Amino acid sequence: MNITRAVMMLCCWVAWGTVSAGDDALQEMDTALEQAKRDMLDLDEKIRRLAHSEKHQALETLSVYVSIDSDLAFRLEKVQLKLNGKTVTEPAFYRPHWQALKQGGAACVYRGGLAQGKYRLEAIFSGREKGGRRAEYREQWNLTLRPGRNSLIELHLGNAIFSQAPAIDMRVVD
Amino acid sequence: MVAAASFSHAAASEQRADLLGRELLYYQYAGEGYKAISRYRAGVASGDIKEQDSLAARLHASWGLFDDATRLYGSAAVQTPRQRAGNWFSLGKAYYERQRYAEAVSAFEKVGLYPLPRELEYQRLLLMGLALYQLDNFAASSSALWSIHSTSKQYPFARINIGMGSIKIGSWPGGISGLGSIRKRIGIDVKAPPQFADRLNTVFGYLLLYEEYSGSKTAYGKASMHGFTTPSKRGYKDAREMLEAVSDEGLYANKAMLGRAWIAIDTNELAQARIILERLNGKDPRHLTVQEAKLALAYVLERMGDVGQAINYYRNAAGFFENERNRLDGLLQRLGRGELDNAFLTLKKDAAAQNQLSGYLPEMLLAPLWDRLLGDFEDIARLRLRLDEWRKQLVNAPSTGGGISKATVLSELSRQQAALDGLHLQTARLLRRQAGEQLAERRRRVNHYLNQARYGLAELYGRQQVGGVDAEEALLAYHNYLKEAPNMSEEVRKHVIERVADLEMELGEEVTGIAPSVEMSGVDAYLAELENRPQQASSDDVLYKLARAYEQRGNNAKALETLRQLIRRYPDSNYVPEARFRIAEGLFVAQNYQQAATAYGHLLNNRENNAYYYHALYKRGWSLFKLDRYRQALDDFFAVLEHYDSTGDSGSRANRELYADAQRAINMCFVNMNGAASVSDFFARNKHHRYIETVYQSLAEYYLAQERFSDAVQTWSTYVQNYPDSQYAPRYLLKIIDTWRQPGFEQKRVAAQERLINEYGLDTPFWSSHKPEQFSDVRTALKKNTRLLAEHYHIKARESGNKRDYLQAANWYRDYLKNYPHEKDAAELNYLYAEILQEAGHDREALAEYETVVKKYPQFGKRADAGYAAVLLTFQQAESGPVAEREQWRRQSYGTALNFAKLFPADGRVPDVLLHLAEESYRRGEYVQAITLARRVAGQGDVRQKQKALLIAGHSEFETGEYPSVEQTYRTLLQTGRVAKNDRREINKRMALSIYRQGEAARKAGNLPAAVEHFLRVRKEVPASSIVATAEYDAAAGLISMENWPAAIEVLERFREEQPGHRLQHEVTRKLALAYLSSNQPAKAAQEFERLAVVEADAEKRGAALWKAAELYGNNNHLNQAAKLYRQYVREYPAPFDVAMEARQKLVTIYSETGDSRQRDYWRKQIIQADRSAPVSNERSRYLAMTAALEIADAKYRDYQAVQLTIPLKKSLRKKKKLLKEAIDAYAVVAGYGDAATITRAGYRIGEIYYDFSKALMKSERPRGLNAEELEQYGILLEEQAFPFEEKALEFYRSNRIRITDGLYDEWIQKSLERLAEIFPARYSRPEKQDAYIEALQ
Repeated sequence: MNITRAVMMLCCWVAWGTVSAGDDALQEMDTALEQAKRDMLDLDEKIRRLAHSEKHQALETLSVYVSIDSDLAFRLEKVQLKLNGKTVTEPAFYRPHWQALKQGGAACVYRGGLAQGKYRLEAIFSGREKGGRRAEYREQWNLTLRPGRNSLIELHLGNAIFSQAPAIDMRVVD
Repeated sequence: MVAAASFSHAAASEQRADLLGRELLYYQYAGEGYKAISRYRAGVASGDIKEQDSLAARLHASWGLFDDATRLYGSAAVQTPRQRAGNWFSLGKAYYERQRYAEAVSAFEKVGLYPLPRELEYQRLLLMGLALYQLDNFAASSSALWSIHSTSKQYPFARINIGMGSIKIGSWPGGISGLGSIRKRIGIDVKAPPQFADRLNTVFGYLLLYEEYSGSKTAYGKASMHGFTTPSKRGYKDAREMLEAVSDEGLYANKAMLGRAWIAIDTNELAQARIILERLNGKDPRHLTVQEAKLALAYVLERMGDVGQAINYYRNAAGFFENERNRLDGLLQRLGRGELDNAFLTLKKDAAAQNQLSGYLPEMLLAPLWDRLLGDFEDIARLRLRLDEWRKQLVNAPSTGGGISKATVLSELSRQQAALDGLHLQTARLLRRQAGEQLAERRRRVNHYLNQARYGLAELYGRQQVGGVDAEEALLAYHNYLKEAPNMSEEVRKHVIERVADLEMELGEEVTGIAPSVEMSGVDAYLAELENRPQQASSDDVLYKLARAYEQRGNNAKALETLRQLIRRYPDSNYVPEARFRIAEGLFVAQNYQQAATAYGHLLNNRENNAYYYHALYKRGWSLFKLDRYRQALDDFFAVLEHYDSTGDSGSRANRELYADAQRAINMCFVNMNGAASVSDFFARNKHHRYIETVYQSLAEYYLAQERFSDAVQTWSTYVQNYPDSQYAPRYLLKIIDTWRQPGFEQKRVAAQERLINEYGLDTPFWSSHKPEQFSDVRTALKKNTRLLAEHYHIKARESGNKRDYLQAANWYRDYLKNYPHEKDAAELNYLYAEILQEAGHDREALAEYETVVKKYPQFGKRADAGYAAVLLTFQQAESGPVAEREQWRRQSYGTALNFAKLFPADGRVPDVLLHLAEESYRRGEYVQAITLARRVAGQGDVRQKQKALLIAGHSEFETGEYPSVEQTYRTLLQTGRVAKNDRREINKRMALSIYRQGEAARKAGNLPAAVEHFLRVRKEVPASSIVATAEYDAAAGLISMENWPAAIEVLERFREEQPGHRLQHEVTRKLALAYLSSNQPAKAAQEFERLAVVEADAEKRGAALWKAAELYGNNNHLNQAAKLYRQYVREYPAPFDVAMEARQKLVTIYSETGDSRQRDYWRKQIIQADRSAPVSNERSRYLAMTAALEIADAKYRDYQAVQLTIPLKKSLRKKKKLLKEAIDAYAVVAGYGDAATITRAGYRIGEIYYDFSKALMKSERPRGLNAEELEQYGILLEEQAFPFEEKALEFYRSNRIRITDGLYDEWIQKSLERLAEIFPARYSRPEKQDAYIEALQ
């Protein structure tokens, strides 16, 4: 049976190999894709101009961002945002998004038009602790939206110096 | 927590721009390039983002729009070298991510001209190294990767790629050593994510396992290649250790488990293998390793002798693989039809467990190319979605705007839609093809497993069959195997066919044999013709040809016979020499070497014109060789050599070959005699000395070609031993070293290297007789090998942990540094020397060498690393070195670390070093030093370091009592950026305490206003601190001392409100009472006393407070509250009796004032009652009681007086008489107290009552309707009724009058006398004679 075993072992080893595709096909696709992307951006520009001329100003009164410390121990998987108790968004952070956050990116998780006045903003951050344990942290803030402001809010998760739980801070930019 | 937040905070536009910038970054890093650029453009258009070409370029590059990116980089406004470097870096990274490696390398190389931040530079080197690796430029890749410093995050990735690169180019020892080294350092001085360690352990473990299994040519393998089932084998041991270190839950868990199972199988630990495989068998069966485990488990059971169970497992495995193959076939069909395209879209997402493809195609996520294709596919899908959104949006848009018509845009949209649809299809096709290839490969493997299972099954059935079980099953299994097994080896095929044949014969059937087909050749046809027509062989020519034909056909006997016939029949023929030679050759071919030697000898009788002479000589040599007569053979072969060397006739190709062959034959002779020893012996007894080196070298090379490395080395070694002073001796030693460079001979190579340096080192006698300039190669090799030896022992020491190896390495480094101190690599080696000393535990020497590196080599690139290593060494020793030496190391560490900070102020590690010192100082209570160091870091570190430094500084200042500084430090710390809520709580606590302490200090110094200010600041600065209450209280106390009553009251009131349950609340009430009293607010003071009356613990104090409260209320006309409290007082504090009596009296007074006669009289009676009941009454109480009684009596008297006698007289008389009795009784009570003045009053009043009654009777209303007589009669009747009352009255008046004789005289006596005079004027209206008498008496 040693022959059998040898072949099996070999298979297992070979599984570490790599894959490749034809260079020509890729090159051709790359070129076409680049052109499509450029066209897309041109279209984007035109549509924006068309929308602006309509004087249909979007009610971008409030934008909420999420950012983290690059060495955050807590693996954020999802954030649920509630305004006055009602869920307005619940985006998930898959691997690329998580990497983007870790590299200093700020994810815009909510952008919407709201009437002026007082609101209660609640954020529920769910994910996994360093040891893999599932965990959930929530914070609430009272907000006052004033007229004529396009307000940005940044919710930031960082490591605490003394505690295992992430430190959740809010910053208002307006 | 609900935190109040307001939009009123002023937010700078930079903050907005910064946040939007990070949003762009997020899209860029998340692979959503379109969104990034779109948001950028929208932001620029709205003015939120400042237009920046370099930013735009970066975004374009990262989305694969390289032309645009390059254009934008070019037009970017004023750029510093650093900015330009950053731009090239970004471009290079973008190229790298698109796998455009050559362009990436080009861009990265441009970066090299400019400075980049340290960590970014390491990232650049890593990416460049990886790109070069992809371009198969391993040397440049390795160079780039080696430049990454060990403290960098990129370092472990660099090292693993260096190791893999070495392996890829075939340098297994180097690769494995490198991987081993980085593996050991992870967690010690190299940080890496856990998954990295898992991957490294798995890759490395499999490398060792694979090479161990396959008996590879590596250092690990060769050292122990004596069989596959020796448990003690080094490679397995290490492989097992590595695979066991892999996490059980990670990406590599299954692979590691399978590896461990195979090790267990190979080391014959079958039970262990079974346990592992059974565990693995329970996991996700889509995983290839799990599938392999199914087969392996059956194999293990087979090896364990459990044939029945093994058959079951093989059968189950075969069933599983058959199903799996069918499933894969189904997937392949669906893939081909495009039904799985959507699965590509979710393949990269975390929740891919549900994805139909991901279980089968893990490679798609690991291979960069696939990752990119999947990214493109997703990108295209996102863009298509965006187009759909636009289309919907355009429905409501105006027909024109911004100079564009809606129709135009719609038309462009359609065009774009078509383009993206095309790209979508193209990418999908590409992905399908790639996935299809992988799935097909997967299917092939599964099919292979299936066949293996069937093969195993067949073998076991066969074995069972021997025991009398079914052979048909075995036959069927073999047939299935034969039918489908691809790429079956010939050995296996043969075995299977034999088994099938056996089985079929057993089953009574015939095997279909496979016979080789034979074709008739042209030679055969010729021979057949000659044999048929022998008359044709009538000439020497025909005989010659016939002999050749026989020879070609392999019929040597006939050929020789024909040649002999030719010599016999045609002795003068030109063919004769050749015929003789051919006869000899024929004999030689027929292995009749004795006759061949004789036959060749016939040709040697005549050298002249004998073209075959030397060939015959040469062949006789070979014949003798074949007869094992090597010495004689050597004579022939050397004769051949001497001939060609002396005549120079070795120019032709044939002769060259003959010459070379003779050399080879000589080698063969020596090989067959006794190798190098025979050579040595030969040249000791023979001449041919000019061939000494050639023979030795030739023999060694022969051995090398045969891979008989030991014999080759022995040959050179014998030469070196025989001719040590020869110029070739050291060079042959170099050849020995080169030979031992072959994998697996490391020990021998090292021994050779050591021999080289020991026997031919710069300080050996060899150099006294040789000119160094003629041995530059040797001298270069000496230097190189010294270094290699040092490195060898360095690696070995790290692997073995053996101290002797460490010291060996250290010795070689020292030798190198002594002999080649000015070499370029001296600094590097000195650094390594320091490292090995440290690793060997020679810490003091290591420290000295690290310091030497810093001092001696100012240009050395790792000078700062050496400095840092010295610092780490001292830190480490101070912490975990021998206990007795720690203090000394600790002192040393301060100097070393501060020196490092001084020499390399810009080094990124300085802040952490100083922080460590600061922490250490703080820990040891050296607070002043801790403050100095921490402040230094706070001025130069990043946010984390700054925060930590400020924390240490703050804590230290706190310990030294520098409270103003503490407060400032903590305040700065809180301003450094985000401080976690929990941290802030701790800091706030200490900050509050430090403010409080400032207050305490001021109070101690007698500066009460300042103290109060600090105490009050605690609440203001740190409102949530637990010390706020104490501070507020102390502030209030200070304000009271300063008699600042309003402020004190404000603080105390606030305290009461904000600290409701605080233990100082009672004190606050006391203080408030005092403050209100002192600030002339009696009502509020009374309230506080009232509170105290409830809360005071001591009953006496409670009573006093109650009294005070009642008193304050009473004095300030709050009579109801006062009465309530006095009542409460009487009820709760009956003792002391006097005070209670006074309280009752107060109540009488209050109710008198309020006109509540009922209550007033009640309390008068209470006074009387209390006095009577008191065990011991006193004068005051009796007075109060008597007064009360008197007042009661007076009141009764007044009541009595108020009643007139009217008709019907009976009724009014009864009433009046009743009141008369009551009044008299009341006065009787008064009189009972025995007080003289009161008695006179009572007596007078009683007299008055009786007198009044008599008068009232007399004056009473007469009934109506009486005539005069009746009236008179009535009057007389009345008079009779009134007279006794008058008499009674007179009795009492007289009693008073008599008291005069007792020396009493008062108002009431006077009034009594007056009344007596009025009633009996004659008797009592006379002047009192006694007056004179009295006066006379006086």
